[in-house]
Amino acid sequence: MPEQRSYMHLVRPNVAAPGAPAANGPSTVKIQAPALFQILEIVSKQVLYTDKRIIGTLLGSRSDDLSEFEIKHAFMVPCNETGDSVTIEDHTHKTLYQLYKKAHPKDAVLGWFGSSSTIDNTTGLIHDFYSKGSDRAYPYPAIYLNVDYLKDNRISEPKLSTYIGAAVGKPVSGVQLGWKANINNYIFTPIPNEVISSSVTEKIALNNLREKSVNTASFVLDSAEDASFLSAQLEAVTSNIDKLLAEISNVDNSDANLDLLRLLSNNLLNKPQLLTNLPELERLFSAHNQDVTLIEYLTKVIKEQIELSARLTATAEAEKKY
Amino acid sequence: MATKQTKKYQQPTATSINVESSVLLSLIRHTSENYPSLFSGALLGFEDDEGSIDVTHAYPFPYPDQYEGGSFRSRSGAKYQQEILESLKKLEYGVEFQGWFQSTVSGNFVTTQLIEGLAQQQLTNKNAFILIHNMASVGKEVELKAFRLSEGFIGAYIDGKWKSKDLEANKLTYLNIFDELPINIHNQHLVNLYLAGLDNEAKGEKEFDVLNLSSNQNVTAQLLESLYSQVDSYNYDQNNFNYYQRQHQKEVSKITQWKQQRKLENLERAKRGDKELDTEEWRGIFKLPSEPSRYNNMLHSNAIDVLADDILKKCDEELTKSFAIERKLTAGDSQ
Repeated sequence: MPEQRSYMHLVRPNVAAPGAPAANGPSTVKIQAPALFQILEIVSKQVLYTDKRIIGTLLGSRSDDLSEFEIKHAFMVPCNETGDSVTIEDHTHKTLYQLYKKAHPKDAVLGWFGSSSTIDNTTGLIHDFYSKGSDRAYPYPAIYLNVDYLKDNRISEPKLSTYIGAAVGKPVSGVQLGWKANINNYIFTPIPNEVISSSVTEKIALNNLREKSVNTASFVLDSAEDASFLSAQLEAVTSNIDKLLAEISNVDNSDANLDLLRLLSNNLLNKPQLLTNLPELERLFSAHNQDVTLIEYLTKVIKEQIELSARLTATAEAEKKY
Repeated sequence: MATKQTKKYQQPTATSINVESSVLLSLIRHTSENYPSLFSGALLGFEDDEGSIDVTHAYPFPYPDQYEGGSFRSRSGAKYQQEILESLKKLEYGVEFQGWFQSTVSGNFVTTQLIEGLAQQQLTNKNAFILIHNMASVGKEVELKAFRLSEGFIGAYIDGKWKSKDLEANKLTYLNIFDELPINIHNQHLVNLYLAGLDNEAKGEKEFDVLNLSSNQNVTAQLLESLYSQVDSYNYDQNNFNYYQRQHQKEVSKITQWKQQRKLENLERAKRGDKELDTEEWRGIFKLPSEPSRYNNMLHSNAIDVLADDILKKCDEELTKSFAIERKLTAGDSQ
């Protein structure tokens, strides 16, 4: 996790986003890990030297009071910069959004992502596109996620920053033709973001990715038939305990350490009554183990039975004379 | 059905599956968020020159499946798949449809619908495959496998014959309906950089759920229920087969009797110097019952086998935990 940064929240004008409450704007953006990976994969298509801008749409959900955004999916939208104007392929955006919407009816367009090192005029133009019109973030404020990974044309660790853009000044009225410079000006206010995993299985997969893909670009996903996953987890716990023991062996009298020790001793002392009744405990365990063994036994019988039946049938049919 | 004669089994050229990490994560997210509803979807990507399929996009179908494989042959599923593909092509991704994914609980994925869909797909695209996400360990472990129907199965499928001798001719048993393909997880350079930049975050209690005593209880019960119902279906099919075997037995003994009779008769006639009667005449008189299809039996057997393996795994885990905990608790107090 990136270190927790502090942000100052200001009351902003929300001219272009009438649906947003004026008092408290969004305070956090949660990026689901799959969506982040999609974004990283899309922006890494950016050609290094021509520096063509790659942008895309962010999809996800907002909390009821609009204080939280959750990014769940992202797709690329082609765009072309020519001088001070930019063309975004509205049609692609619309079709892909509608298709996603079919499978995820609760999600909506949250904003967009890009990968540039600075916020410039074009950023405002694209933001304007996402802040207005149907099938976009309107009437809610759009958010902008930037992945900065190019430093002097060299690839470095990607840095994520999220902004909310609010229009300032008098909005331009009337029909607009294309997204040309100076239609609306935007203030981009940084808001904190965090990367989350929405389900435990996904978290396990992410941990797996992190542990296995150090130094290699790919690895084999092994789905174990046996209990090797269990033993890997046990080893993880053992190493955690070792760490804790090492920690305890050189504690000082600081408050944090005292709290830790207190927590540990409280947990160890809180023992259910049953654990002191040894014969009863042994009886329960043996009953449990026997239950499990019986299930194993019967399951094995079924498995063998099926195989036997298949073999007998094959032999019987092969030996038939007529 | 009419086009079947022209179809022939082609050896697949892609023998492993490369899955982008984003696909892995979004697939797992979708299936586990929606569990116990079952979901399937299309996997898009391209074949590379080194004999593997790169999966770069996964799109779940809009509606959950009532049973495994339900969306593969449905019109709405196919339409959705086509629309996604067309939109992605506009983005200049050179992606094609490569296969499906399906969430399931253990061996329950072996349904006729899924097999039919996959077989049809493999006949048009020899490298088609299916990713099975086994939800039996949801929240504990990731169990993802890639399957393709075996050469023997496709052979029998093309012939459309499922009698014992056809299975024998195609060297097909319930254990080799599927070929498993290795799955490689591939990270884009940037993803790798990001992962490398992450601190080693402490794992929470939830991720260690597999270590809790009796944490498998619910899922084991569910697996056992699935096992019962598969065994029931198996028995239903087996009863039909047994009936056939008994009928066959009866007819065979009748034939033997008839032959015996004819033989004696011929002996008599030979003594009298008469012309012998045809000994093969029984073929016109008796009609042997024909063997019923072994297709369902094979599918049920396969499902039972997978279910049994999963139950055994859960039980092994449970016993390991139980013994470890018991020893710790009882030893600690006797000191």
